[in-house]
Amino acid sequence: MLKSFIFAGTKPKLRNKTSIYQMRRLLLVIMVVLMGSTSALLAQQGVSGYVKDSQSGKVLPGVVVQVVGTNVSVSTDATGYYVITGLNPGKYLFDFVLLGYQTVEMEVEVAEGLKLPDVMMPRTVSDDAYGAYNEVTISVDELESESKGQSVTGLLQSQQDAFSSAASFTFGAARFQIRGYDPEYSLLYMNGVSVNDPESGFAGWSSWGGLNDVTRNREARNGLTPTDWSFGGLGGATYLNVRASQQRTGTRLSYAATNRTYTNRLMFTHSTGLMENGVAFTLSGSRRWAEEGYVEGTNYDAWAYFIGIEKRFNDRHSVAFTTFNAPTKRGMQGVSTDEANALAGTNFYNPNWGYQNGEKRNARVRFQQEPTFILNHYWDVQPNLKVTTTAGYSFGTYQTSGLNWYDAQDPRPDYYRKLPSYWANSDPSVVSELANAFRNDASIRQLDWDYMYQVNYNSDSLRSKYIVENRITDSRQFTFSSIANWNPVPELKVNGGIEASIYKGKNYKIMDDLLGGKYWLDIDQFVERDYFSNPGLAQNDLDNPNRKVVVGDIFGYSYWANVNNGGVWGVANYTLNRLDFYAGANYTYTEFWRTGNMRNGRFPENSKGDSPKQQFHNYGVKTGATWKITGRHYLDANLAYLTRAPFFRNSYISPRTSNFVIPGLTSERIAAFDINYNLRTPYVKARFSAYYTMFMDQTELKSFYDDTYRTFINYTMRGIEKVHKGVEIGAEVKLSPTLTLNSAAALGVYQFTSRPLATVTQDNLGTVLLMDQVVYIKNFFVPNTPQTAAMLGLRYASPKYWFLGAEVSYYDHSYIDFAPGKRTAEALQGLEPGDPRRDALTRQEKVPSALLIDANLGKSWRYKDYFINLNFQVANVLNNTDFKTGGFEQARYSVAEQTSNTFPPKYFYAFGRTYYLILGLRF
Amino acid sequence: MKRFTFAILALIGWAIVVSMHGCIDFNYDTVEPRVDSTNLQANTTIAELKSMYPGELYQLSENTFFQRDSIIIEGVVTSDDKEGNFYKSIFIQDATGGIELKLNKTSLYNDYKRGQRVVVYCNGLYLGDYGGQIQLGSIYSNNGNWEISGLEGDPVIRQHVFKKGKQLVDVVPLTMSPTLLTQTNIGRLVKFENVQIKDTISPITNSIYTFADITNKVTVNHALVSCSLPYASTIVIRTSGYAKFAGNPIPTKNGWVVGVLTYYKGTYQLLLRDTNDINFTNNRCQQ
Repeated sequence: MLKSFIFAGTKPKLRNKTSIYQMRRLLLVIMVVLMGSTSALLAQQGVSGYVKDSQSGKVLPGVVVQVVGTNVSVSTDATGYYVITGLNPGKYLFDFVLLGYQTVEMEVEVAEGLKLPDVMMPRTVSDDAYGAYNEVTISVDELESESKGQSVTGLLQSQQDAFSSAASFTFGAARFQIRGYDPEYSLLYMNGVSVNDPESGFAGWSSWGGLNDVTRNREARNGLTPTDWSFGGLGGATYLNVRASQQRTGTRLSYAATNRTYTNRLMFTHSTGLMENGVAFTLSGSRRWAEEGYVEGTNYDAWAYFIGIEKRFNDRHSVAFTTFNAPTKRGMQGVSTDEANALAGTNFYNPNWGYQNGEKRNARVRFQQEPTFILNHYWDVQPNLKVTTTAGYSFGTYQTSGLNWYDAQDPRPDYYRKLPSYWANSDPSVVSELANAFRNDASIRQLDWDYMYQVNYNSDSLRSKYIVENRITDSRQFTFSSIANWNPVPELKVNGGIEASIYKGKNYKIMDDLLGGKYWLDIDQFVERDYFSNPGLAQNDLDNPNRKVVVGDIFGYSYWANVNNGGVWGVANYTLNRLDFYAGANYTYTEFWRTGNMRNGRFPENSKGDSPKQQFHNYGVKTGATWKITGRHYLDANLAYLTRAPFFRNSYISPRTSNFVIPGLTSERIAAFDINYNLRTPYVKARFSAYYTMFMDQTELKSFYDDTYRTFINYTMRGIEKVHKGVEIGAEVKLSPTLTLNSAAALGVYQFTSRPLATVTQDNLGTVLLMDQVVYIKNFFVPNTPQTAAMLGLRYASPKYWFLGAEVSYYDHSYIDFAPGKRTAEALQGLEPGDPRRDALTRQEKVPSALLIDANLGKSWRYKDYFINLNFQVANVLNNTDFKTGGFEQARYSVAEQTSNTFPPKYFYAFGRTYYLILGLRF
Repeated sequence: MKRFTFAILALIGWAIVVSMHGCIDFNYDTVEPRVDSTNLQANTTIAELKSMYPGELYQLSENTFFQRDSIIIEGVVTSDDKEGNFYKSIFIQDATGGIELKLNKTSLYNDYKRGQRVVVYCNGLYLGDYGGQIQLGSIYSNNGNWEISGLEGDPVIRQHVFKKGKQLVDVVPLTMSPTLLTQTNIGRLVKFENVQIKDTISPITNSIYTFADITNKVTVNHALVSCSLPYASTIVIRTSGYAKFAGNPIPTKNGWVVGVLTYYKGTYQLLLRDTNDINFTNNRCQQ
């Protein structure tokens, strides 16, 4: 920790931000620190106090106390007590933040040893509103697509300022990503354990779906700012504090009715608080379910449990054990083209289901769960030194079923050859017949299970032609981290830590349903079709050739993804009268390799056993300063340079079959700068930010069917560069004691700034078809997030415990994901400039702008010690069902005709009007 | 207080009831095997149907020659696209003749096995020809010229083509002779006996010809000759480059061969379903 601190402290970049004098002073402090920790002598009391519930008078643990305009924040402990150190005397604003409560602001004239009066926090009437909203946004869809990014907004950011709040709760409906960053740039920790999946980088949001009650204690930082618990990400970091001692004491029972992905939710939570014997205990459970969600053919069944125990041994040692799991099973929503949607009469047409014996059966069923165990040790070594050590273990499974077929018609009802547009040159009366059949006949519009069964029954020796397979990733991960927070002198705060993770993910598929047949032959049909004269090639498992697969058997592919990480980080914060600054650095070692369990017929030498290890050394440096113009005006700036190892999932050309990594695999580099102005007056809270971020050496991998080669290909791009720049504005204005106006706007430009080089390989054989094909996407926009988003909201909160609010939001400049293969010289060969086909192939489509209106109202009642909350939200009040939040071009296009007309884009649509009604009881 | 305890218990009880009620089922009953059949009765023979063809694209309707309000044929499937030598069509025949029914769908053997009895409701369908061979199907516009084409996928096929029962019929191929090699028998399953392939060695590679060009996916004709019977027209074995046996060397000996008889501008073509359709085991004869 010390080592990295020194490294950080002497970074030359700091010099630009501070005067020589301050620099010298900082160095002096560092010297003092290095010369042995006599600093411990400088014991300090800091500023302290208690936080309580204004209604019940009970202490409130887990409240985040944020010193406005600084990087200083603490959480209240089990007794509602907090102590803030490291502040110079002077005027400060403190924010007290807890989900379900109104944020309390307090102006403090800081003096050493100051004891503040009890802070009484009033409950918001909408006890559960934010949590529910969050959860719904998360599960809107994890649509399968050729598009890389999945829609998970930078949720769980704090509601500490109007912008973050809007970004998390309002903009989520439009797939808004803060600053246009992919979700993997936001870090998420639960009691010290990083929950970003090492294989793909995505945060595992759904692993605690339905546990809203216990995940409301959270601390979040926007953007580059470092935190006490981590070096921080690019797009912010969130820490979910689920310590049992810091859960709100009492019992909570709630029921929610909605018409979104699920229709019913039941939730129960009980927390004892810290009892006389030093033990705190929390128990929570929930179930969410739907026979059919908002989208036809999507059913939903999710359970969740959470158990947290904490034992406080003495003033210095506490140990907490946490375990939770949220097994979730649901039928998935699919996306289709506008043509299919129009025929089906809904933009939420779901091609994934069909009738089987009169029941709706979804072919894509996802099941996931990840039982997690976390052990924490909280150690207050000295009043000015805290060490938190965490060990975590989890084993999860992530399964998605899907149809597969051999030498039979594509069963997907919206397959392009089945849509009327494919038959443009046919008899018009027949075309209208086809359109009518799609409109009116569910066996045409949806999957025809009956047909698939009959084909299987008809097949020689009952060899299944159609099957349902289950693609599975079984993961297990061990994580360890230790974090120290140290205040050697009041002006200096040093945070640092080490972390390590060992991850193994087994990727394979099993036979789920033979649909009436007796077996499935484990060969690759595309290879067989093209190379049937060489039967060895088609073998998925050369050591078990022509294996007959039955239900439950592993087949097709099977490999382990092994990912190990280790890292160390440190951040030093230094406070002067009018200026705070920090500097930090981290180092991460990453290694990963593939272990194949099958010898693939195409790659007999490069598929089974351990692949060579890929190793990466990455580092990051950050620095920043805050200028306290006055106690109500702050200006801060942050600068970072980071490198990041590629993720396993983006590194292998075809991880299912072979060990080959993409050419030029390298770490990604990121340079980022932002500047923020914060205004705090009794009536206005506002933030204005500007940022500029450069991504370099990114790689991307796509796999799809290619018309030229008539086979599946892997398309890898390297040398991707992007610039994300823009401004963010957020303001909360108190118009009267009961009326609040909220406003937020994000105006960004996220663009590609390079011409990446593509390598095209044939998935079947690994043959390199094209090397270093130039992809002309310079100045293309980063897809699937609105680059312009704005909202205006008004909220009336009656002193009689009810409220009413409404907000309108606007989105623009959202672009759909593009197929790089169409932006190449090869694709445009022979098309003169001015040829409309050229424009049609290369132009990036922007989806129309859209306006949404949301409304909510709530009321709470109290009877003795019982509190009842009723909250009702309506999202998309105007029922705008044409709101495209993004989409993707199909990679396939007609090479001969140089058009993608037969393969039009597919779009994501925001749900129309939905409601969420929650009835909660607390005691 | 008691009232509240009661209320809470009631609430919990209700919660359990609600929760149990919402039992989400992810399991489904298996679809049972089904035998497709039809009550439609043929009222027209295949020979009659073919005789309706006026020599250019013609749509069948109730106002055809026979004053029938519908034209329905029945036949047995003789083709098989499993090995890839037939593409988007089936051949059906009855006692009077055979015809090619064009269906715009692949892997048709999953639906129509060899020997499957089918009934075709022909109203609305078209008769056309390709190189002199009559075909039944739909139409499509090839740059403004209407041509015969396959029925446009399941929604259309379902309205015209009906399987009749499960029992497969063993079709005995018609053994050919010069007098039988006529327009009438085009579309039928036929058998040539005592024949051999005329040229077996490629002068270029100096090796035995393959059935077709599998590398470039090109269809190839191999002339068939008989030493005993004087056929007036050219007869070829025609194999698609996409056929699984396209890369196999052709049999060089003499014997019998079975296939669907097709025709293109004066040449009779024999389409094999698979390599079991050819059995050349005797010594070649002198041509």
